[in-house]
Amino acid sequence: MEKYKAKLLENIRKQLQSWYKVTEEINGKELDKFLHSLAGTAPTIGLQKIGDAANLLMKKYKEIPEEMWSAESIQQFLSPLLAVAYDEDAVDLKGEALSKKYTPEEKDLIMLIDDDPALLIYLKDKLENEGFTVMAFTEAKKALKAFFDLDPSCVIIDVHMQEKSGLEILEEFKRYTNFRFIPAVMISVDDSKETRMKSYQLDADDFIPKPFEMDELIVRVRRLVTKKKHLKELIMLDELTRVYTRKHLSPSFKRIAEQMNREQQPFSAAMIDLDHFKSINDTYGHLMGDRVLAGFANLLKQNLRTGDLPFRYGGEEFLILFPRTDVKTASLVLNRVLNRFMDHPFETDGESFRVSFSAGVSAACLSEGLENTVKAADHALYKAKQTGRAKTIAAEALAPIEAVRKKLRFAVVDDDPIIRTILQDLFQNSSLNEKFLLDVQAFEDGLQFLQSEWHLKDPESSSFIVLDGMMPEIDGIEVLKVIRSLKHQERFTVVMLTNRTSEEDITTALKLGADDYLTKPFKLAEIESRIFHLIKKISS
Amino acid sequence: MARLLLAEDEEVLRMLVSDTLEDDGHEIDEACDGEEALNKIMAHDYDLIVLDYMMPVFTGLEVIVKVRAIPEKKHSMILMLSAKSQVSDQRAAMDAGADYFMAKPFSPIQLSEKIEEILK
Repeated sequence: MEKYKAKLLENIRKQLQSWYKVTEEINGKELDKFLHSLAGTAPTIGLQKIGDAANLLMKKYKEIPEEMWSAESIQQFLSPLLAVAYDEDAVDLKGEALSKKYTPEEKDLIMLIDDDPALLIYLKDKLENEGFTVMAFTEAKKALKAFFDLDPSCVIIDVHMQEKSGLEILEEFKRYTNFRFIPAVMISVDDSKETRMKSYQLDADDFIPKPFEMDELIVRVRRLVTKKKHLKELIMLDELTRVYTRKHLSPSFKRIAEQMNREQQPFSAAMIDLDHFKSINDTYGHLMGDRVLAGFANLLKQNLRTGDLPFRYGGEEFLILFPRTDVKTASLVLNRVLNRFMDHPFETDGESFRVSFSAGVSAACLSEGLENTVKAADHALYKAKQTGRAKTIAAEALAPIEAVRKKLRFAVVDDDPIIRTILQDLFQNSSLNEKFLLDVQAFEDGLQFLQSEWHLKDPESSSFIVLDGMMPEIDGIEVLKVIRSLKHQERFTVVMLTNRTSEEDITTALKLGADDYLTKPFKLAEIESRIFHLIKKISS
Repeated sequence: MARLLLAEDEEVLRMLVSDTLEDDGHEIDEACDGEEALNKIMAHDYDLIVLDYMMPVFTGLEVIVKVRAIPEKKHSMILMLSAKSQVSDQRAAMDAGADYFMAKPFSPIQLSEKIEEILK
C-alpha cells in the first residue's frame, strides 16, 4: 500500500503545483473532479481520513455557487484536506499515532547543547517523543544568547565539546541564571570523580554518564522539570524581578475590583514598558538587561505606596494595580517613580547609562473587567511611546479600543505545495492573530524568495522564516547564508526543514545560524509548538 | 486466468486495481479514458471489462452504450465502478447495460472477490 499512498500524495502535489502556477482563474469543475477522485481512491488504499476530508469538501463545494476559482481561494479551500494528507503521510513514515490532542502551552522546553550531531539528533528525537519541545544548539555562544529569550525548563549540556568545555558553559549558565532556578543536566563519557565533582561544584543539578539508558535519562530530566514547575507555583513571584507573576494578576484584579466596588472607591491600573530595552540587551548584553529589570522592579517596590500591587506582565512590561486611587493620583505616583528611575545610573565596564520608561494609566472597575482595563492602559502607553517616551499618559475613557498590534512577517519557502499550503494556513489562522498583525507569504523556492526581496523589505518588523533545506536552484542553506549576512539579520528567526537522515545538513544549518530545525516529515503539531516557543524570542 | 480491460482515469486506483488483479493471475490491459477503452475493446476480446463511471472523453456510461451497439461486442461482460454510491448511479449503469456494479471506495480484496465471482 505504501507505494500507492506515495503515488497519490505525489499526484496531489502535482495537481496543486499546476493550479498554483496558472495566472488565470480555474474552473470549479476541476476542483470537483479532484475531490471526487480523491474520495474514491484514498479510502481504497487505506487513507480513510483523506477520503473523509474530500467528501466533506465535496459537500461544501456544492454549497458554494462560484464557478471560477483563483489559486488563493483553492488553496484556502483545500487546506483542511491537505493538513490531513500531510499528517497522515507523516504518521505513516514515523509510525506514530496522532490521537493525542495537543496544546502548545503544555510542552516544556529543553535546551540541548552538544556539538556531536549524532547524539544531538538522537536525544532531541527521544525527548520530543516524550512530549518535550527541544531546541538544539551546537554552539555555546548561541545557546547562551538564546537562553534569555527561550526561558527553558531544563538545560542539557555535554561536558566534552570542542570549542568550549561543557563545564565552562555550565559555569556561565549558572552565573547568568543566578536569579532563577533553571535545572542543568551534564552528560559525559568521562565518569571520573573529578569531572563529577567539578560539575556539582559548578551547581549542576544532575550528572549522567555516557552511555546512558534513555529511559533513565528521561525520568531524571522530567523530575527536574517538574520540580522547577512546583517551585515556580510555590513562590508566586517572578524569579528575576521578585514582583508577582502575571498568573496572579487576574485573581488579584477581581478581588480588588469587587472590594472597590463595595466601598465605592476609585481604582486604577497602569501598564509600564521600559524604553529601548531591546537596545540595552543588544548593546550591553542580556545579563545587563536582566540587571536593569531587577533594578527597576526594586525601585518600583520602594517607591510605590502600601497597597499598590506590581506584576511582571511579560518581558520588560509591568502592570500595577492602584486600589483606592484615581487616574490622576496614580499618574503622580508613576511620575515620581519615573524621575527616580531616570536618576538611577546602571554601571557596566566603567560605562554608565540611564534608562526610562513609558506608562499608560487607566481607570479600572469591575464592570469593565481586566481585559478592557489593560487594553485602555495599553493604548495610553502606546500614545506615550509615540509622543517621545519617558512619560505617563492617562487614558481618556474606557472606550473600546483596537489593540495595538506589532507586525509579524512569515515566509514559507518550500517547493512542496502541500507544505506551503498547510503552513500558510496554519500561520494565518493561528492565535497569533490576536497579538500580532500577521503578514504571511509563501515562496516556491530559494530563487523566487530572494528575487522577491522579501528579506530586504520592512526592516523594522520581526520576521519568521520556514526554510526547506533541499530545493532546486538555490537551496535553503544558501538562502540562510544570504539572510545571516544581512545587516539586520537578528530580526529573522529561521526554522530549517531538513531530511531525517541528513546529519550533515542539520549541523550545517545550525552552524550557519538556523534557530531550529525540523525533520521531514513533521507533524503539524510539532511546528506549532516550535513557533510558540520561538515567538517568545520575536516578541521579547 | 482471464484477460481483463481496466478503464480508470485515476492513476493511483488504476495502479492498485491492476496490481491486485495481476496478483490474482489475470492479464490486465489498461485504459486512461473512455476513448482508449473503446479502442482496446474493438481490438481485443476481453473476459471482463472494468469501467469507471466518470472518465474523460467518453464516460463509462457512454462506453457501455457504444459497446452494446456493436454486434460482435455486445455480449461483453462489463463491471462498472463508481464513486457515487447512490442508487440512481447504479440504476443508470444497469439500465445502460452494465452487468455488474461496484461502489467506490472498495478494498482491493472486495474487488478481487467480486471479480472471481463474476468469472466463475
